[in-house]
This record gives sequence, C-alpha cells and structure tokens, in this order.
Amino acid sequence: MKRLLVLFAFLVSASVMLYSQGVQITGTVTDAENGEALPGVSVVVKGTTIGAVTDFEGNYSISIPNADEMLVFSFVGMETQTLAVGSSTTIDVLMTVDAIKMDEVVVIGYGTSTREANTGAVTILDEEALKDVPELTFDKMLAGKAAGVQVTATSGQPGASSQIRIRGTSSLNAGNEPLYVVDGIPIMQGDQSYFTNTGNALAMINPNDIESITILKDAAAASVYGSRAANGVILITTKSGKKGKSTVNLRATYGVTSLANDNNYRTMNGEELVGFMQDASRNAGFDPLDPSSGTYYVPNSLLDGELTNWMDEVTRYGSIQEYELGVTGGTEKTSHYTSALYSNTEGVFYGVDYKKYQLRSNITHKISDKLSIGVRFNAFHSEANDVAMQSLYYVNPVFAAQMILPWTPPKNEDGTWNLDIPENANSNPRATADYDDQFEIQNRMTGNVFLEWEPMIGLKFKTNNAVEYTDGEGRRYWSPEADFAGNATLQTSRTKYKQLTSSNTVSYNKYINNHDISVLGGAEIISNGNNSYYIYSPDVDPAIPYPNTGVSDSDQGDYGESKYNLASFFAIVDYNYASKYYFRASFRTDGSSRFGENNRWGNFYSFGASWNLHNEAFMESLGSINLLKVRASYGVNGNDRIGNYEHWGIYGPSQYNSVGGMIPTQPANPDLTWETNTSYNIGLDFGFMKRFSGTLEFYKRQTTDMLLDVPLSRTSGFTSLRQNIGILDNQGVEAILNIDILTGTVHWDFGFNIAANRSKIVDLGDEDQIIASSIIYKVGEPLYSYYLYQYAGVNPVNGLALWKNDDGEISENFSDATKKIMGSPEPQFIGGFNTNVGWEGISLSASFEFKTGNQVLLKENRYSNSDGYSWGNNQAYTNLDYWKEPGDIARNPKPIANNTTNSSTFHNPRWMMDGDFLRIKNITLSYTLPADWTRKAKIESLRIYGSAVNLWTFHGVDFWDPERGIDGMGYGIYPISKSFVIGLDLMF
Amino acid sequence: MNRKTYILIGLAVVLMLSATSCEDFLYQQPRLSQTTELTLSTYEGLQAATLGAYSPLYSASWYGRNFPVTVDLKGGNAKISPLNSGRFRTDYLWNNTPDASHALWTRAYQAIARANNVINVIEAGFEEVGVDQSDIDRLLGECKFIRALGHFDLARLFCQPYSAGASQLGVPVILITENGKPARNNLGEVYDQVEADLLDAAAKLPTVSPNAGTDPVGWLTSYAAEALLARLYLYMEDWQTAADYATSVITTFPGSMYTATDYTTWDLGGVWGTDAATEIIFEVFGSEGNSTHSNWDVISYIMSPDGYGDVGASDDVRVLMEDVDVRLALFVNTANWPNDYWSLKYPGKAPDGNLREDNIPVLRLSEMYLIRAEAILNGASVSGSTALGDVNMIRSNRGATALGSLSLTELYKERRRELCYEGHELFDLARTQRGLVRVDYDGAVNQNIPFPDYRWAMPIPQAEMDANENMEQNPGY
Repeated sequence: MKRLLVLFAFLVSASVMLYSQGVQITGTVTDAENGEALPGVSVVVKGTTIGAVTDFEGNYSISIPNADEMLVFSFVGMETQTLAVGSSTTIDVLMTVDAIKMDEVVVIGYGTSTREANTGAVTILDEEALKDVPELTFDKMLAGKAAGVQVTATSGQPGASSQIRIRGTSSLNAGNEPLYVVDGIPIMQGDQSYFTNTGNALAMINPNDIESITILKDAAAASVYGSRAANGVILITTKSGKKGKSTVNLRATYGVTSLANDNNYRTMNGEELVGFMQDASRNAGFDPLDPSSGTYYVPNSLLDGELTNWMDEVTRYGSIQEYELGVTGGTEKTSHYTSALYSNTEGVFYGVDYKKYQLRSNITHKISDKLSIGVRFNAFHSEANDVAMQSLYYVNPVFAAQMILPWTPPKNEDGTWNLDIPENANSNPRATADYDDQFEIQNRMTGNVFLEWEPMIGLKFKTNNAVEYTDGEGRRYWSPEADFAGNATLQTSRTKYKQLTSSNTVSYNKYINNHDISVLGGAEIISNGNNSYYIYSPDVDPAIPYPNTGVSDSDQGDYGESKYNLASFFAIVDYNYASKYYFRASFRTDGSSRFGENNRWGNFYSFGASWNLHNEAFMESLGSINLLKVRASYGVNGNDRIGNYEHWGIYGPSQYNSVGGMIPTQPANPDLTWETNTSYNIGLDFGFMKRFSGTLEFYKRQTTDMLLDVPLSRTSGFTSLRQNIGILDNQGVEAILNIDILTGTVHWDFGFNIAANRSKIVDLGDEDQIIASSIIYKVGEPLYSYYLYQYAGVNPVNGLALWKNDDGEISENFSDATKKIMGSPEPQFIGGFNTNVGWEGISLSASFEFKTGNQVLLKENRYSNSDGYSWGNNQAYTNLDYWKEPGDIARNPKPIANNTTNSSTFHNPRWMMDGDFLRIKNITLSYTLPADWTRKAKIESLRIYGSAVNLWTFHGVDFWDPERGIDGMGYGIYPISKSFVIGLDLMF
Repeated sequence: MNRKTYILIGLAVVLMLSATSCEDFLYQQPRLSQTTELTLSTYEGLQAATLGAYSPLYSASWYGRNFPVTVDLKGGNAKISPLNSGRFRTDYLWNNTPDASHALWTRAYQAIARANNVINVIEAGFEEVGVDQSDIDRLLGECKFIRALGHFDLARLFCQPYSAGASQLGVPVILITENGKPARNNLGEVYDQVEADLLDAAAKLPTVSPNAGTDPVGWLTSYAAEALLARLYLYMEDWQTAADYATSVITTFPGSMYTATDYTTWDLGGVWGTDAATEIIFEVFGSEGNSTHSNWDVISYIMSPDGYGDVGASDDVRVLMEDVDVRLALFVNTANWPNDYWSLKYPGKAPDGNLREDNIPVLRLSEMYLIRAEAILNGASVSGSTALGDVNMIRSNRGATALGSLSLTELYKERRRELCYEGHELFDLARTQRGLVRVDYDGAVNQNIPFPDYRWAMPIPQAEMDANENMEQNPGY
C-alpha cells in the first residue's frame, strides 16, 4: 500500500526532536533608507516559535537554543532577512523595502508557501489586481491579467460563464476548464441552470470577498490535485479579519451599460434593403416592381411607412447597482470577516436581468495555543431572467433584430406588440421580453469548517469539511400575449446539486542547520450529485399559468440524476537548503467512480526544483540583482472530466407497441479512464534595480490517453466507443514584466504579460483526421482548424460565387467545391498590460487585454449575409458590397432572391475573419480623501471612484464584439456591454 | 499524555481514514438506466431486453420507412414525385455509393446485437425460480426470429441473390455480440443461420403472443416464423419446402384474406391504416410512442401527398391493374398534380389519419398464397392446391377477373399488384434474375438495370469499411 508508505516516511521524520540550552542575542533593527529605528520587527529563531519583537528604539533581545541557529527578521513591506548567529552575540540589522514581495505568502495546493520557495509555474493575483473591476463573477476579471490564462467570453450576458483555458486546450471530448478550489475545498462549477444561460456556479463568490487568486499552471504546482489537475487549478482565498479594531466597510457602485459596438456593425436600413432586394428579385428573373411577381415584388412604397431599427428596438441602456456592507476585525484569539452584498444588473436587451444577494462570514478562532477552528460560510440567492440567447432561434433578440424587416412595425395601432411578423416566425422579441418568462432562481450555500491542531512545533493536523448545495427553480412560460397562435405553454424545473468534501492533512516542518524540510500527507473524499425534475404543461390557463392548470393528458414529467464519488490520498515533500536550493515532490492517487473497473485508481506525481541564485554569495557583487531564480518541473496529472457513467455498458428504457422495454444505450468500456497530462516547465524569475521584475516560462504539456470516439464495426450493435487513445501536444512561452517607473510621492507602475501557446495533434488512433462540421481535427495540425469549402471569389463576368476543388479547378457549382484547412480559432498571442499612477490620494489605473492571430467564423452570416438565401429577412450592411455589373470585383456575389446556389453556406471562408483585438478593459480614476479631513467626521477612510469597463475594443470583425468562444464559432451571441460606473468606499 | 502519544493518536486517525475501503464508495451505478449485466440477469430484464430488440424494426432506416421505400423505388414500383425535395433520389437513380448506401446496415446489426444479448444468456442455461421454461423459450424464439430477420434483410439488400450462387459474398453472421472486426460469410452460411434460427423460433414461439400492447400481431408468433421460413425457402428455390410452410400457415393461421371491400383505407371502412387487420401475420407497429419514432421521417409522411409526398407511385404498377381491381383505387392524384399518383397503403392511422403513424406489414396471408403458387409453378406439389387456384383466390378478393391460366410472368405481376410498397419488388427481380425495366421513369441515367449487374447488391457503407479492415466491399464499388 503506497498510501501507508507515505505515512511511514512522515512518522520517521516526525520522531526527530531536539532540545538544548540557550544563548542570549541582542541588537538593533533600522531602516536602511533613512537610518531610523524600526519598531515592531519580528525576530524568530528559524523553525521554532521562539521569538521577540523590537521595541520603539528598534532594540530586541532573544534567547536561542544554540549558536547554530538562524534568526529571521521580518516586517510588513520589508524584505525578510535570515542571518546565521555564529559566534556573535550582537546582531544589528538594516531592513530594506521589499520591492519584489519575495516573502509574500502564496497560497498553494494544501498549504501556503512564499514566492521565494516556489518551484512551479504559478500566477498570483492579489486584492489590488482585482479591485474596481465591476464584474459579477471573478472569472471575467482574470482576462488579460494572468500570463497563459485565456478567458474567452461566450456571452456578454450578466451572470454567464466564460471559457477559461490555462496553457491551451488539452482535450477533445473531456472537459477543459480548470479546477476551482476555494479556501481549500474544490467547488462545483459550470452552468447549473435549466433554462437560462446565467447559472455560472462561480457567481456565488462575491469578487470583493477574494483576498487572492493563485493560478497553478504546471505540474509541480498542480499535480497534487491528481486526476483533476490537467487543466490547471485556480485557488481562491477569501478574506479573513486582521488583528485590530473592527471596521465597518460600506461600498456602493452604480453604473450604466450599453451594447458595445465599436465597429458600428448594423443591419441594412430600409433604403439599402429595398435596393438590395430589388436587385435580388431581378437576379432571380422577376420584376420587383410588378405586383404579379408575388413574393418577389419589392415596391419602393415599402419605405413609405415608419421604419424601425430593430437592433435599437430590442436594446436599451442597462444598469449595474451593487451595495455591500462588511465588518471585519480581530483579537488575539479570533478574527472575523462578514460581508453582505446586493447586486442588480439590468441587461442591455429587454427581458434580461440578474439580481443576487450574497452573504459571507469567515471566522477563525484559537481555542488554545495548539488548537484553532475556522468557519467559512457563504449563502447566495440569485434571480436571473433571460430570453433564448445564444441560438439562431427566432426569439433570440440578437438574431431576431437582424432578421426582422425595417418596415415591420414593432407595435400595432392599438399599442400592443405586433406579432404578425412572418419573417421571424411571428415572434416579437419585445413581446417575448414583456410577457414570457424564462428565469432561474437559485439558492446556494457553501459551508466549511476546519479544525487545526498543532500538538508541537512544526506538526499540524488539519481537517476541512464542506457542504456545497444548490437549489434551482426554473421556469419557461410562453404566454398567449406573445404567441401568434395564442397558446400558453409552460415548462418548469427543480434542480439540486450537492457536493460533500472532507479533506484531511497532516504536515510536519523541521529546520536543522540550513536544511528545511516539510512533509505533508493527506486523504480527501468528495461525493457529488445532482438531480432534476421537469414538467412540461402545454395549454395551461393563462390566468393561472402553473402546472396545476395544464391539461393532464398532455402534461409530461421527467426526472434526471447523476452522481460521482472521488477518493484520494496524497503526499508532498518540500526541501530547501539555505534558501538556495528548493526541491518539491508530490504524489497523489485518485480513485473515481467515473473510471472503469480496470483503471479505477490512478497515480499522479510531480517533481520541481529551483535555485535561488540571488542568495548565493557570488551574486553579492552584483548588488543590483535582487532576484534571480531558475526553476524546473516535471509531472504527470490527469483529466477526469468525463461523464459520470461512461464506462458502464448500459440498458436504457425503450418503448414499442405501447410496452416498455430495455435497449442497450452505451457499450461497456471497463478500461475507460482519465486523460493523462504530462507537463514540463522551465522558469526564470528575475528582479533588478528594485524596479524591474518578471518571469519567463517555457512549457510543454502532452495529453496522452486522449478520449476519442473510435468508430466501431456496426456488427457490434454500436457505431462508436469512447477510448483513451489520442495524443495532443501544447507548448508555449509566457513572459511577465513589471516595472516600478516611479516610486516616490508620485508612484507609477506598469505591468505586461504575454503568452504564446501552440497546439498540435499527434495521434488520433486509427484515424488521420476527424471532421466535425466546420472544424477538422487532423494529425500534425493545431487542435482546432477551420475546414471550409474553397471559395474562389465572385465571377466578375456574371456575379456568381466561384468554388474550387483540390485540383484547383474553378466552378460555379457549389457541389464541385472541396474543403480545405483555413485558419484556426486558436490565438497566437494572448496577454494584457496595466498601469497605475498615483499621487497622494489620487490614483489612475488602466488595464488592457489583447489576443492576436486567431480567426473567427461568423456562422450566422448564413442567414444575415445570405446573398438572397434568407429572402424576406433583413440583412447585414456588409452584404451591400455585392456584384452589380460585369467587371465588378466585389466582396459578395450578386444577390438572388431565394438563392439556391449555397453561396452563403455555413462552411464558408467568406465568414472567416481575423479575430485579433485589443480591448481597453478598464480605466479607473479614484480619489481617497485625506484621512485628517475624514476623521473629523469619524470616517476612517473615504474613497470615490469612476470606472469605465470595456471602454473600447479595437478589432476587425464584422460583428458587435469579436469574441465568439474558444472554437470561434459561437452564434446568436449576446455581445459584451460597456459600462460606466461610479463607486464609493466608506470605512468606519 | 506526552507528545508522542498525541502523534500516535493523530496518525491512527489518518490511518483509519486511509484504510477504509473505498471500493464501495467508488462503485456508482446509474439508476435511471441499468447496467447490461443487471438487465440480463433476470427474466424480467431479459423480457425487457427482448421487447427492446423489436425497437430497431420501426426505425426510419428499416421498416419504419427506408427499407420498403428503397426496395420499391429501386424495384420500379415507386418513383420520385413532383413534390420531391431530394429525398431518396439516389436510390431511385441507382446511384448508391459506399458514402450513400443504406442505413439498414447499422440498424439490422443493432437488432441482431440486442437479440444476441438475450439468446446468449438463455442458451448458457438461464433459469429462474417461478418462471416457466415456456416463457424463457418464447423470449428465445422472439430473439431468434429478430436475429434471422436482421440477417435475411441484410443479405437481401447488400448481397447478390442467393439463387445466383450460395458461395457469393454474404454478410457477417453475428451470433455473439462483441467489438469485433468480422469478415463476411458467404451467402450459404448466412441463409443456413437464418434457417436454423427460424426453425428454432417456429418451435419455441406460441401461436398467440402473451405480450401486452396495442397490436397483438405487432409481436412475433409461430405463424410469423413459419411464414418467414416459407419466404426464405422461396428465395433459396427450395420450392417444395416453401410450399409446405406456406400451406401450413394458410391452413392454421386464424386470420382471413382481405375481401374486395376490405382493401381500402380505414376512413372508407378498409384495412389500410388499421391495427391487426385480418391478413396480418406480423406487422411492425407504428406509433409516435415508439422510441424509434423519428418525427416526420416515417413511411406515411414520405408516401402521402398530404405529407412530404416525396415518393410517388409509378405508372408501371398502375397499368398492371384492371379498372375493376380494387387495388387500383388505392392510388390517388392531387388537384395540383392530376397526372401523378401516390399509393395510399400508408394513409396514416385511424381514427384521425395521423400521417406520423402507420403499421408496416412484414408478413401477411396473401403472400403465402403467392409463395405457394410460385413454388407449385416451379414444380412443388401440394395436395388440393393449384397455382392458378391460389392466384385466383387473391384476385377474386380484389374484384379482379379470374385468370384462365397462369404463367410465371403473370404470377410475378400478381405479386407486384398485391405486394407493392411492402418491400418486395427489388428482391423479387433479383432472385428471379429478371433485370429491371422501367417505362415510367424520370431519371437521366440507369432507367433499366440488367441482371447480372454489380448494383443488385448495395455497397457496404463506408463507415463500416473504415472501422473494419476485414470487411470486403462488394465488387464494382
């Protein structure tokens, strides 16, 4: 039993104990910059709790066991110094400002460390980096802030989730999102709503409650999370109280939002559309001005009535409001942090809003010197209304507004909404927003309680136990007022998600003569489950639109459930010698109910080492170098994001001749298991002249045992079987540079990060390629490559689209075209930069995000830029550049009413555009009133600020916003909004 | 307590945690469905699995639509109507390729796999306290029939006719379901297995199915097994045995032949569009409730001008019928298309003519008379029966004038008149090696197909070729 070996190793190291007599040391600590005495500096014998604090004159006195010990001097904002005692009994110390924060505590897997000790690739975002970004969920805040972390919006809707990829996409069929761990407990993630797009489980965390975010990117950092570490791990630590007087914080923000449209994308106006349609009608062989042309009759009189810009009609100025009250503080024994938040966002589309109420209480209490207990409690209630976004469905206002004709009036003469809109299946998005329901109400709760016992110095037992629970109520009601046929149809849902976690660790730390060793062993179990009830009730009574009035013969009910369990054992060993040579090894074994019986348990491990050159004696001559550290790591972890029961051979219900039977629905695969991720990382951290610091990382990660749907001989009774057979590589470079340009009264800093990731498919089993509609997965190519019909432009002679086959033969016949790889939605470079200027209480900060080298595919152009295919619908203004007469070199072929040439096919390179963008994410100007003014009003501090979010996006995509999800092919997207927010922070 | 005691207590706690058996905790079975092992371990489960094996028969790629439609389009009974939007054009034009072949391949093997799951458990000696052996036998009989029908229909569609040589390429005979890459058996081996399965099914199936449900002849009985045996021997040109099985069904089957007044749609008081009509020995029950119901991709919708109506009737069938023949009245034209006709054999089910529901006859009594007549013409002898008598038995019940003599050619015409749109004509042409002649034809190519020709066997689908390196493509493709 390998799990027992770990514990045995721990036992051996724990039994070593040292006792000896004392030596008295005294000295003075002063500030190196101005020579003033420093009071309150902590002086500790390394590896013990023996310590002292300097007095007002900076003097200290300490009794140490023997002269071989090291003394550690530390003070907030100063660089920690560790000095050998040796023969001297007087040690005076000069402390310097810590520009690089080498001693900052860093939260890592199952514990904490410092930047100094770190061996892996981690990115840390502190409170400062997350401040003043008025986003509902913290995942949106990561965009552009962390090197190698790609945050892709799939929707600008309030409460919607983002797609996050750390160092590329590693899997085709398993999940690619990172693991989120909050205060040591992995949390549930993904969208948990039944009808809406806004069930982002991460929304339950108030971004303002976050103290720090640590992103674990390489194996050395992440592998201790075993079969869930392959996509990286995001560790979140929530705030806890600091020792001292309790303070009350009040925060209020209010903002206005509008649809971002920095390229002035739009549909055609009435005149443009009439001209376009008349040409299309002529090109189809009709006379558009002859009433006998039927549907091809396009008279100029269409413009006589009032014309409507439907995009304007369905959008509005939205609003953001957020009010938060918090109390925090602490005593010797107890620290507390409590916050209450109310937030209300009105979307820029009618019918979309999101309200949340959130409470958090974090309390830690020392029962005795050796025993402490803590509670992290979070309660959440949300009410989200939406309409059918993210689809090419006619009730999606984004799509409907592109399709409805400008001469179709939004309202009838009697003031009611017009539902006679045949070009949009008789659906009016404004009526839908007013009368239909599509909402999700969620109540969520997470509570964890931990107990920490330190029976002796260096030895710690910790048990952390959590319950996480979501209860959701969904409703989708199509009211007769918004339905042309006047039907009332109701769908309702109740969903429950729960996750129970128990995480237990024992750790031991020992320092002997420059040898610093820590070991940690642990066991963790997780039990996760969800279920849902759904009722479909057509023909409910609109006066009482609930399932009880539905016609019982047509009511349908359904039930779903899914569960999985995970059990893990793990160990970490850390060792360093004289703060110069660091070594870390981790091991984890995971057993998961998701894995087939032949592969139920998996072993994962990592090794990391770093060399802190700046602590070497030979570096002292190069005084300007504050930090020079090289790191290397190697490790293996896994991706368990597969379905809960995929390894079972399954019989599911069937019906024939009014009798229920059972049919095989899934072939057995007892070998099915995690995808393996092997990762290598080399890193360099540097800092010089106390102004410049940064990091360079090179990595390679290889996914093996990648899950692929392998086609089967049909004689098996199935068409495919999911097997662990593929190989995918991701490799890349990340760079971070931070500069403190000015450090005096006026301070000015600048930060920049950039990352380049390249993916390559190495093996697809027996296949050379897998074609998935407009995407091809092909050996030797990047993971995602667009696979589109070869478009050869517009024939200048007759205005028809030209197509090409692999032999280069040109044809006007679409069916002669062959597909080819063109472009990829994977960015070549992603990153961001930010800057902050401050003087006295005034501060101005700005952050930018960029992506380059990726392509997007605008699939809705099939309908909105359709060369006449969508006859009787409005079209995008980009369709106006079409062929008109022989000799024209036009972007679009000539429009033909009811076009059957397939020129606007989904798989069309004409819809592929460069997706590069540079976004001004946030500009914030803030002013903190001088404390001596505010104190007169008994206010500890008062800060006012104004922020602009998504202020401008520079891009070249013919759409409101350039982002369309990881595969670049999202459609019917709710584009992002701009917001202008003012805020007030008040502290008593 | 000293420190070491604390440590030991602490360690003991951790050890207990780690020593706890995790295997139960990590064994999570789906509850809303069942594992294969569990389903196949009880009689109830085997019965449910047997009922599940019927499901593929109704899928759109088999009797639910594509199998009879393809067979009659390629056989010349059906044609692409003016309402056609592209569906089934490839079949009509005989332009099938490995990429555009027939989905029966997947569906039939799915049914065979489901049947095998039950057969293998029962034949390994399954028994359960309180369950009669006869009930277990019945499940075996149902599954063997379904396995036989699967292999038989596959061989008919994807192979050259047995009558042209039993040593030709057949299809893989699958008796144990596994993720294998089987090669093709020869036709003789396929037909031998179909014969063996049907003989066993005939012995084990009851004359009336005890299964509940709406349609009693939507389940398999011993009559169905005997009827399919009669057809099998006809295809094998074992004339005497074919005649004997047909006779057995004719004499014992309790149903009766449709009369001239029966032979119309349900709304006119007829049998088409009703459940369990008197002639039906086995039909595939059609309903929106069936799991394999595929919305609008159903036979009535594709064949009725009130539905998609993509598939119309060829004049080549209509011209074979006398004006007085009630079967001619089963064709309709529309106001928009007065010169085009559609068959109303699938008019949508009573009582409201729902075009998304219709039963598909697989075996019915008239076919038994036609089999016996053809067998007798080819030399079989049945006491008290003549080929002419059998055919006139049908004709007298269709309002048609009685024939004075009967040639094989006339018999083939009678089969066409009686069994059109039920999935026979292509195979009748092939097994009698006649070649296809189409007079009423709108295609640009392939109006007539001679026999022999490689195209009488449809190509093995490319997906199978890709997944199975032991699979041999039919020559010519």
